[in-house]
Amino acid sequence: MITKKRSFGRGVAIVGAGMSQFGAFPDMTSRDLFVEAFHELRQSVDKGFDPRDIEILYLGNFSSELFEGQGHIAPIMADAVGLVPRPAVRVEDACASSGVALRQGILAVASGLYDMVLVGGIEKMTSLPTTEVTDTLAAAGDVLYEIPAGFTFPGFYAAIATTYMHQYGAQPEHFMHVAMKNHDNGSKNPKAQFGVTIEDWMEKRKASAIKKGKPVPTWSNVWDFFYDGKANPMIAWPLRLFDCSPITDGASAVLLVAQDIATRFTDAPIHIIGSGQASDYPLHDRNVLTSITAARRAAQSAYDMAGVSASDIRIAEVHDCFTIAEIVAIEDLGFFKPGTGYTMAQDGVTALDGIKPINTSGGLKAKGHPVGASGVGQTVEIWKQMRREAGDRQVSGDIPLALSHNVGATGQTCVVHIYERRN
Amino acid sequence: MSDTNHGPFTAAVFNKYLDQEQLMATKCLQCNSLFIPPREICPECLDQQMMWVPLSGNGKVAAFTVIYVGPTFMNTQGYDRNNPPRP
Repeated sequence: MITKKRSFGRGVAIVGAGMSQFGAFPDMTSRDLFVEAFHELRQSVDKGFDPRDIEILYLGNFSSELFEGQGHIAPIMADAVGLVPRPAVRVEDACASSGVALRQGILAVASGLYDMVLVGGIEKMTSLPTTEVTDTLAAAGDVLYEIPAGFTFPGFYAAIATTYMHQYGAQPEHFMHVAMKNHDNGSKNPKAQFGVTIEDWMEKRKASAIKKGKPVPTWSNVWDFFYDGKANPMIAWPLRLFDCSPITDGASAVLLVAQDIATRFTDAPIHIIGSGQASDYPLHDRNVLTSITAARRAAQSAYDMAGVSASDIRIAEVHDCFTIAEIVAIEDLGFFKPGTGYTMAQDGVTALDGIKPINTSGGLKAKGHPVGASGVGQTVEIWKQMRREAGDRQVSGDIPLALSHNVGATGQTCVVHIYERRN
Repeated sequence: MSDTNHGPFTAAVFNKYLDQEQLMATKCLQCNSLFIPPREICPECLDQQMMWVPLSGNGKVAAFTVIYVGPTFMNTQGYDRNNPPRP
């Protein structure tokens, strides 16, 4: 395989970013959500810009056909934000759709073909009942050999979890620490679907029971809640409800320009200095289950291109579709040795004030996981953190380097980006 | 491409053998790698000369889970959170 070090034809920078509220919005279509993200993006460009200068849209979307009955969604989103007749390209790589759309947008600028590119992501998931959402997401697995066996997405990640537990001695309680950490971060993110800590969630449930005259839960601590099969039911052993990211409506967008014109739009652009992507076999066909090989390959490509290493990265947004996925991700990215990642949330290492803050946004777990919008949603958080605009969840000190890690399905696709702030 | 004794390297042929309780793999004649489910092209050496070979059906469990919230096609057969399928 050709593995030579790659570089961009020219530099690429982010000069604007925005996202819609993430959550369940029965009265909003994907068009409304994308417009909401675009509004925030427009306001985020420090020196302003003329949207007519946007030359192309790359849009990440997993399955608007199955979720909304709407195919060919890229030109429809372009229309919603006034971009017709510019080309509009949909990118589909399951839950990595918009991370890969970002990479396509970067390549389009780096090649010299375009100077200003809009990259977006959209998924409107809550119109379907949960069982049909589960079936729709399962279409990202191997429908010949995995799905007929009864696998669901929680099932796939549960299989990764049991293998990891067997190999390294992790327990389900370690996974819950990841959920608690991400809900703590999400409670500080006004855009998050679950903007409450798990402790606050428990108090709300108690208050609601009192109000309705129903039996009040007797939880005395978070572990009582964790083991409560009604409040936190098993989804696929050992993963419970609070190990799973939610079903979410949401949109995200970033504005890319050629590096040499970036200061026309802002004095604080965020430079993209590394991009890596890889594919892999479906989960059933791998030799290793405790690591996502495509993530290791994508990360290596991105580190090589950027000329940096894992220890240089100050913060990262990683693909925590399930709690176990964050543990595997922080090992695959080289932040922690294999088999040691599971204690990092419990020990506070990956907390907002830890050595290596992970998922400061709340992650997919608390912020929400509108699958086709999640990758660019991660980039929006990186943009805010690096520019010190993250409010209550702002990480202390400078963030010269950050990373995003976006996974499609069980890791048949992974895309990694590395970001730099230079001033 | 196909194997004159067993047929093409397709899911249909793989499933036909499964229905007969015979687990079949494809073997690359160039590098001897074994693949299950079937491959027409060897992902190891990219050679295209494959053959079907029967497997014993014995193996080690690599991972397992019990799925409580199942896919629709299993729910309609009566499996749910209170009645998860068990091995």
